[in-house]
Amino acid sequence: MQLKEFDAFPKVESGFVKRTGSGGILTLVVSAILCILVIGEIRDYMTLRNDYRFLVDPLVNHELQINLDITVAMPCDALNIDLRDVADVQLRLSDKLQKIPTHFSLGSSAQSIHIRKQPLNVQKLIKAASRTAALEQSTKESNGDFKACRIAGSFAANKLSGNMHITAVGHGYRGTHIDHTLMNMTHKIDELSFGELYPTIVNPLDDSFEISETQFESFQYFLVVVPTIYVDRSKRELLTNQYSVSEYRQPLVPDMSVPGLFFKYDFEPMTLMITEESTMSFGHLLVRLAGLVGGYFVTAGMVHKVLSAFYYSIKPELAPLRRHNV
Amino acid sequence: MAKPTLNRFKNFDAYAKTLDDFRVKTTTGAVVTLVSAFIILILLLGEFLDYRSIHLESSLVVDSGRKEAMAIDFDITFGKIPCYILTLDVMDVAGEHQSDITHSVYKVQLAPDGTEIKREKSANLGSNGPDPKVVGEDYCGDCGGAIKPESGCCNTCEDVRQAYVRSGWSFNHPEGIEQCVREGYMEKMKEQANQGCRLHGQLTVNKVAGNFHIAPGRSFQRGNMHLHDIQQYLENGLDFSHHIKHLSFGQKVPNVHNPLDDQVVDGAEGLYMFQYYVKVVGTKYQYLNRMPVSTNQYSVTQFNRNLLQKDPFGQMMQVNGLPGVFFHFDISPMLVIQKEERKSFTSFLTGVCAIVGGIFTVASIIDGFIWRAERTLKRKMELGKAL
Repeated sequence: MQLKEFDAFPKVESGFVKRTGSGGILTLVVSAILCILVIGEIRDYMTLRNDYRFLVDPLVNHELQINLDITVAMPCDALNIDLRDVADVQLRLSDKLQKIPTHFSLGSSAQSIHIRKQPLNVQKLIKAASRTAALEQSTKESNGDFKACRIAGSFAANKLSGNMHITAVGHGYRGTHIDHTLMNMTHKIDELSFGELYPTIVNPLDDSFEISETQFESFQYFLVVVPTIYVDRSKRELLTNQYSVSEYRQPLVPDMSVPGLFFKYDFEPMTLMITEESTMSFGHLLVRLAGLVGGYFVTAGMVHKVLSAFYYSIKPELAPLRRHNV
Repeated sequence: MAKPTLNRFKNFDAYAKTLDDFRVKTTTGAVVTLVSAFIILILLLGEFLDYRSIHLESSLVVDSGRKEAMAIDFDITFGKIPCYILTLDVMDVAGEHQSDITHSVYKVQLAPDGTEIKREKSANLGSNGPDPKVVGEDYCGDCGGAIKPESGCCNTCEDVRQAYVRSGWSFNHPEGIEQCVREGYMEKMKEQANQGCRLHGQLTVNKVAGNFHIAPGRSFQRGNMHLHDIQQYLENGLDFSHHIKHLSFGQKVPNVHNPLDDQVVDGAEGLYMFQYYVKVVGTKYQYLNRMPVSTNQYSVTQFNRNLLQKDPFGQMMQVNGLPGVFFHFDISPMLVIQKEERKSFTSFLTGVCAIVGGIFTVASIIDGFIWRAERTLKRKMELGKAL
């Protein structure tokens, strides 16, 4: 027995097959259509889809880093920064964060607006984040009468819901009130993020500002933080936190509220996992391509047979002699 | 007989076969056949495995259940604290005792080397009065000068202890109190002094935010406050090293991992407050061929605090908080549904047909192409020879 015997494909010497012009045209048309479809299929295979999944954090959490860069239109020594969480822990942050006297100016960077409009691209995001772009812009301006204070830095806090607030010295705490004419809670937030600092990730509060109309006003931000894991197609992971925010401002109600900035945050127990993946596996692509090509050729051949049979039954005088079939 | 009937269908034959006399078999054709058969085999195997394997489809919905109960299973070992000191309390979010909990909690006394000595079901119902045969029918114990309870009598050592706490006194010398001597309170204490304790069991609570805690000292309610009598432990401290063997909020299902299982905390000498902030997420697991199971997953944040802190001048600061192990649980509004799924048989069949048909057709096209090319080449070579 020869290897030849395994040949499953019927081939007939060219003398025994008939080629028709219409068949040739059909072959070309089907090939052209198939080319387009195959390219579409391959492009489909190459494009990535973001798969969103939720999981409940399987690790025991302890602390979490909070990054902050806020400019308040008040002198630095008139500001008090504090954090309290549900475990009754108080972090006096006034000394742990950098306080840089500066001028208050508003100007939203066009870049973050641009980034915000873009659709999510996990790979780009991970790449940009790992580059750890320099955050610290130099604030060494010519010395003058600085009326504002930039509060920047990172600190660790319990991963529990809490309340971080920036208030004027004396308000809400024991001690003498500062000069009320200095009070102005106008502020600009350049960075507020949870987890490791990735300056390239734009958070909802980044580059936002509020202008206080009266001296005594309190701004409340309610944040819900969702731990997020980004996984790109080469399985690199980026652990960070996203948050949603709703805000609310309140003019002073005597004896009821304290002027200041309040960030009340809470953590979601669900971790969002955004995975970049292709829509199908390579094997699946192969099957689809084979099905596509095979299916189209077979179907087109059948259609051709039926149509020509139909045509010749109307005009039998054009029919070739083919009655010699067994 | 059958032939003529069959012949009638001949015109419908979509599988026109080439007569063997006209067929040409080539070696390249055989190679293409074998290669395509091999590819088909691999793809079929993959398709079959895909069909047999179970996929987990998870979705997230808002939990719409009402009046649900939640079972808390726990198994916690304290290596350095005897059982008689520890009490377990369950409270809801408003700080009130949950009255409608059913519980089956066991306290197991452990020898210093960890072997189990005695196992008893913890009755949180308060101790019964003394045996009337010993003390007489109308016995009314003295409270040692402390504020008396409503009944006016302190019949048990526990009653006296509570009376002391009510008066704000410390209960440090039980050897002078008649009721305690009768109950053998000191012997119990001495006997258990070096022992450890393992608490395990199940609590069923309403599915609302709340906490349960294991803390030293009998707890009691005063006004709206939940208090523990811990004065006697403040000076020496207690080693709240613990090992959580197991903590779950419901039945075990695949793919759910309880983060606190096998959590060991060592070296907690002094007076520590261990707080576990647990966020419970409802989970429904739908098996392929079994009843769905409703259970819970949780995420946890741990926070420890040493209560015996010194101020900058080396003075002991006032104790702010209760030593012990606290589990604060909060309920998430979301419900995770995990559904086991398997491809349907028809979709498997379609896949098989697509693989076999597709690959064979493509292979036959390739084969025909090769054959024609080969033949054209051969003819050209023959032509060249003839010249």
